[in-house]
Amino acid sequence: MSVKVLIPSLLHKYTDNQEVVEVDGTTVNDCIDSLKNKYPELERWLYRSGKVATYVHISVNKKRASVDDRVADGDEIKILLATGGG
Amino acid sequence: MLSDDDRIRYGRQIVYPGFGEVGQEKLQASHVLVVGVGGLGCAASMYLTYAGIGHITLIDDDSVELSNLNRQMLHWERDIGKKKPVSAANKLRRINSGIRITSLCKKVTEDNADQIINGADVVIDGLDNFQTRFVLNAACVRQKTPFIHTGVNGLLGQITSIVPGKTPCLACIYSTPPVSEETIPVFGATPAVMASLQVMEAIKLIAGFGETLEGRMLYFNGESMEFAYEDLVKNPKCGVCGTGRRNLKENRK
Repeated sequence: MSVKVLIPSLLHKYTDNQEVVEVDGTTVNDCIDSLKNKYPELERWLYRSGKVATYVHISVNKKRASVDDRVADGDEIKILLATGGG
Repeated sequence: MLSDDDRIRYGRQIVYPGFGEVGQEKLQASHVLVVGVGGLGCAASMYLTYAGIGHITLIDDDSVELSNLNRQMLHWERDIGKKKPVSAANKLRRINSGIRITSLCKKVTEDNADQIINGADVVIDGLDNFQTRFVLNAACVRQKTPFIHTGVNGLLGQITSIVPGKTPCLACIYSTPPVSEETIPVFGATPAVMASLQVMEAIKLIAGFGETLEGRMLYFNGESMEFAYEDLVKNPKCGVCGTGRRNLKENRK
């Protein structure tokens, strides 16, 4: 199942300047794991303690989503960092 | 107008090339609103006070708790239970008696946000949730007031300067508002780093020099010690600052 992940520009340097990366997975979490396996340097920004960090703001097909949501072939996942504490 | 004491007190910044007495006078004549007097707000208001911002307004509805004391440097053990703006203002007045500090012990809401901004030159985001940030962002857009958005999580922080009419606003950046966690991890040094950057942005915006974070988000990753930038793009259909705003109004009619 092929899903597109839109990479925020701050992370382009870790994805060989790819703005969109096609990955496989049946959930958002699978897809982000697959992205990280392809580009391991992303882990420093997207993961904490081996899990997708809670500050990673995810939308699927422009609607807010969580890591547990299922994805379908052709879906588009957008990730942004959103640190909300003060 | 600077006094002789001001020229001595602020001498190390007055000698900064391109800033000078004119820059200091602009800070002296300015009003900065700090929304949220927690980790970010305490550190930001301290450096605003040291820099000689003429009028600082602090707003927060919360009272000081023991769990705040790992990071909120203007609140001390003896302040537990006091309203945060009052606790902070007491110390700030002792740091610099030559400036005006106003404390507002209330929550920012859709009903009062415009009134609270009240002609401030810059609004500093010291909030701990995106819900109120979106309310404040919309009010800043309406009031055409620069809004320095910042947030932290653990050792990570983000900051951008939103200048209404010029840059993307918070609703352009996040078309779906992020959900804030109940308890966000944070080490005290993270908001201190980010608040220092907020004050640098405020000084440059007020005095009119340097390059600000307009149209880009700076991320600081304290775990890997990296800085990175995200290019921000204005959403022409944004419901707050774009054509979506007009549509929303028309739909309400």
